[in-house]
Amino acid sequence: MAARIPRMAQSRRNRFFEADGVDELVSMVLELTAEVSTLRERQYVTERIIERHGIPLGEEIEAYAPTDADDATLGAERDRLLSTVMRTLDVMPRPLDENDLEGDTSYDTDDTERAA
Amino acid sequence: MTDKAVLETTATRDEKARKAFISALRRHVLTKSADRMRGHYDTVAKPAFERLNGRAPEDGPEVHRLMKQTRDFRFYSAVRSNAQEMVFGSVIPPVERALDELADDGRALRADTAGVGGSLELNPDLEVPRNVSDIEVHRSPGSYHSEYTDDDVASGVVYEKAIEVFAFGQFGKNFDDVGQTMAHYVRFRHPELEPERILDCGCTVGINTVPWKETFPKAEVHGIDVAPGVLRYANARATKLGQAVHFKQMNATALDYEDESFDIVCSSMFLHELPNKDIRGYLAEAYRVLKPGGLLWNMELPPNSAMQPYESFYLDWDSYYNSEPFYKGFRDQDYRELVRTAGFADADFMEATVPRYTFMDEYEFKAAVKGPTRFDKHTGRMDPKGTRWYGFGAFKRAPIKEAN
Repeated sequence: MAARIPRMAQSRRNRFFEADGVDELVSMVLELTAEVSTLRERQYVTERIIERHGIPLGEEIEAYAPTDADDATLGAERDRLLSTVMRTLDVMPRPLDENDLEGDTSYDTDDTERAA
Repeated sequence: MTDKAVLETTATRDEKARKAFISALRRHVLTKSADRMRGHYDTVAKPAFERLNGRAPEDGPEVHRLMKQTRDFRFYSAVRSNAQEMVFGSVIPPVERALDELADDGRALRADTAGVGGSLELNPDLEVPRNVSDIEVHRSPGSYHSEYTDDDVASGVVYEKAIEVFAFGQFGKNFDDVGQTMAHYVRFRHPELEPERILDCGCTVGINTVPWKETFPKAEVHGIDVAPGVLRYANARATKLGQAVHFKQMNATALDYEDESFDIVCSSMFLHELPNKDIRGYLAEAYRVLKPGGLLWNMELPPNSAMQPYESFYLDWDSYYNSEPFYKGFRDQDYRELVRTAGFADADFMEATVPRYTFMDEYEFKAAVKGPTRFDKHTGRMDPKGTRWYGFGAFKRAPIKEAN
């Protein structure tokens, strides 16, 4: 198997926002947009090719019943998409520790009080 | 030429679409988002600063401290920073798949290089300096010196393909506008020069080296770099283009060339990658290997002293956020002093801002070359509305004149 070339710089990522998590959210939104853009291009090309063959694509899509194999393929694709969109969470520098958990607990308490 | 040695990768439809998206994202952030951020500075941030301090921000760092507090800067920076990472992520998978085929193509083209008059000399004993080996320059994974297989050219292929996505068309259709612009600037500005030997330092894949050969076809053109992978690719690429260029693995601060053996020593976007002592080391070596009457000419980022505070801040973004630790330190220097310290006469210092050669007709360019040196928001910045590249250097005087 060929050697793997790293996809991303290993050094610390830039942070621009004071609020925790916003930098990660920006990364996720941009990855997601890249995926949508890629998909739309593929869809566009697919439609043009199929129309060239005289097939009424829209009607057939609505009538299509996915098989078990389709479900497995689409499920794997969903997982791949999610791991791409969520990749930034995997390289977040700060591990969750007990202090963070305590912080979360107080948030829960506030929410509960407000709800009550 | 070996027909099979295509030196190309095969990107899938999705990979092509992704690259196109990231180019569009870069264009968006460097035009629309950048304009919006500038508008916020002019209409909100700067007036607020003036009310508080009774004066305008006076330099780039002051504008930077101010802008860091604004949402426009944070989103501009976050998107630009992500786009930079996505550039590399988008080009690497097809290169990785073709790793061994690319190495084979590199070997085949290397076998042909003598046929076009070029050469490749690697030096396995050369130590890759820490400014390359310890820093992921431009946030490139593995920096520019990593190797992944025997006779690897991957780092070079990734570099060129990343430039294609990164540049969103702003380096011209062959991505070599910087080299074309500077070589043609020298040709038209100094028509008396008939260089026999030209040396390009820090050449990476030779994108900006080959234009010197094309512009001065009678000259023997050399390109040096410290990283073997980019040089193997540079050699293969130039051979494929049918251009005779001699690529050598060498450190620009310790040139393995004779004294007074070149008519032009040049570089493109090289000095800002170097620590100060290496900038000075390179310039001293350039002086040594230049013949009397020879020309030093470096394409670089413009000096901060010539720029308005906002433009300084805007260009220095890379120093803070793009793994370019020497970028601002270089731009803060007095380039005239650098050149003088290397041995050139103070009065011989020259600088110019030049519009892009491959974006205009040659007669327009010839006229522009004779125009004044202007520093404005287009200087040194990739901008579809107009870019002016900056260059500086000096002629080396004959010894008899140095006594004056």
